[in-house]
Amino acid sequence: MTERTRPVSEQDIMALVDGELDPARAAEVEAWLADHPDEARQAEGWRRQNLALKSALDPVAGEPVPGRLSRLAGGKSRRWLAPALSAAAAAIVTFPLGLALAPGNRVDVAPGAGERLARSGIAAHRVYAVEVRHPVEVWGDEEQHLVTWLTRRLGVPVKAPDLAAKGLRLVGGRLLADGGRPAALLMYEDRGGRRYTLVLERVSPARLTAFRYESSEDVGAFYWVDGETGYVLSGPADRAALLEVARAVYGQINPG
Amino acid sequence: MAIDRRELADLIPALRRFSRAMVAERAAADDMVQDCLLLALDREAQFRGPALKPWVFAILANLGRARYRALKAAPPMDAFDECADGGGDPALRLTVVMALEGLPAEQRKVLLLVAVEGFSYREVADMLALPVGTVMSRLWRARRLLAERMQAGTPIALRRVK
Repeated sequence: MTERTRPVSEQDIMALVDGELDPARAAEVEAWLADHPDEARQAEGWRRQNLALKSALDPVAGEPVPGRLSRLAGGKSRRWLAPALSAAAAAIVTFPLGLALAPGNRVDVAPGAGERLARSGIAAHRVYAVEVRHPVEVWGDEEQHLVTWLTRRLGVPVKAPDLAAKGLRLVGGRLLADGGRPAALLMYEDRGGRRYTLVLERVSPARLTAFRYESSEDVGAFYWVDGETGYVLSGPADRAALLEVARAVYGQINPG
Repeated sequence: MAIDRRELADLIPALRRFSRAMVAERAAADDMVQDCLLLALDREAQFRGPALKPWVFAILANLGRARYRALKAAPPMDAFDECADGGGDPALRLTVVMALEGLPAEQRKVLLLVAVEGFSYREVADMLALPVGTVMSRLWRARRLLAERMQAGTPIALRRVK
C-alpha cells in the first residue's frame, strides 16, 4: 500500500468501515470522504448497519448457555450425569429386548448416562450421515484395519456387525471425541442411500440394559449398554424399522 | 494441539449468536453449535493454533451447506418471538432479523463473520476457503441487500411489535 494517489472505490469505503485499511490508506480515504459528502454518508450508513447488526444479535450471546452445550465444552464426564436432560428423558420409551434378555439380567447404568450416550450418538449421526465425500475416516473395504484401530482406541472390542440381511452395507467408520472420550462410529447405508450409524463407547460396566428409543426430529435412535460398551444405533426415525436393525446388531455382536 | 476447554466454552455465546442468525430457530441453531463442538473436539489434533476462535468458527460456518439450506425454511416467527423479549430496541432488532432472513446464506455468513464476529477479510477468506476478493464482493452485496431490506421492512416490523 505504498501508492499515494489511488482512487477511492466503494470497496475502499467498506474496508475503511471494517477497519481493514492500513493507517496510511485509511487516512487517505478519510481525507477523500471529507470532500465527498455522498460517499461519506454511505460510510456512515455502513457504520450504522454494523451497529444495528451487533445490537440486534448480541442479546443471543447474553442468553444463558444451554447445559448441553457447556457440558460438551467442559468435557468432564462427571458433569454429564447432572440431571439436566429431563425433556429428552421424558421422551424416552423403554423397549424390552424380548427373548434375548432374561429379566434377571437387566441392570441399569447410572441415570442419565444412557440418554447422554443417545444424544451424542444422534448428534454424531446428524453430523456425519449427511456427508457425501467424507462420511468416514476408514472405508468399509478396510474393515479389519478399521475394527483393530477402533478397538485399540476404545479399549473395548469393536466389531462391525454384518447387516447384509437387513439390506445394509458397511460404509466405514471413524473415531469420535465424545466430551473428550474416544467413541467409535460405524456407518451403514441401504440401497436407497439412507444411512444408519452405530456409535460405540466404553462405559462403566452394566450387565445389559433394555433397548431404549429416543428421537430428535427426523433422527431416531435405539441405545443400550452391554458390559463395558454402550451402543447407539441412529437412523431415519422409523421406530419399527430401526428396532429390526438394532436387534440385528445385537444378534451379530452376541451370536447364539 | 490440545484445545483449552475453558476457551472453547467461552466461545459458545458467540457461536450461538452466529448460528441463530443463520437458522433462526433456537433448537436447530443450538444443534448446530453442538455439532460444531463435537467436531472441534473430534478434530482437536488438527488444531495448529494460535487462535482458537477462527478455527472453531470455520467448523461452524462450514457445517454441511445442506443443513443451512434445509434449516433456512425455519418458521420466522421464532426469531420474532425470541427477539421481542431480549432488551434493547425491539423494533430495530425485528427489522434487522427480518432483513437478514432474506439474504442468501453465503452472503449472510460473510456479513455476520465480519460485522458481528469481528473477523478480518483475510480470516474469513481462510475460514471459507475463498479468495479475499470473493469475500469482499459477497460482503458488499450483503450490505447492499440488507440496507435495501431494512428500509423496506421497517414499517412491517414496527406494526408487529405493537
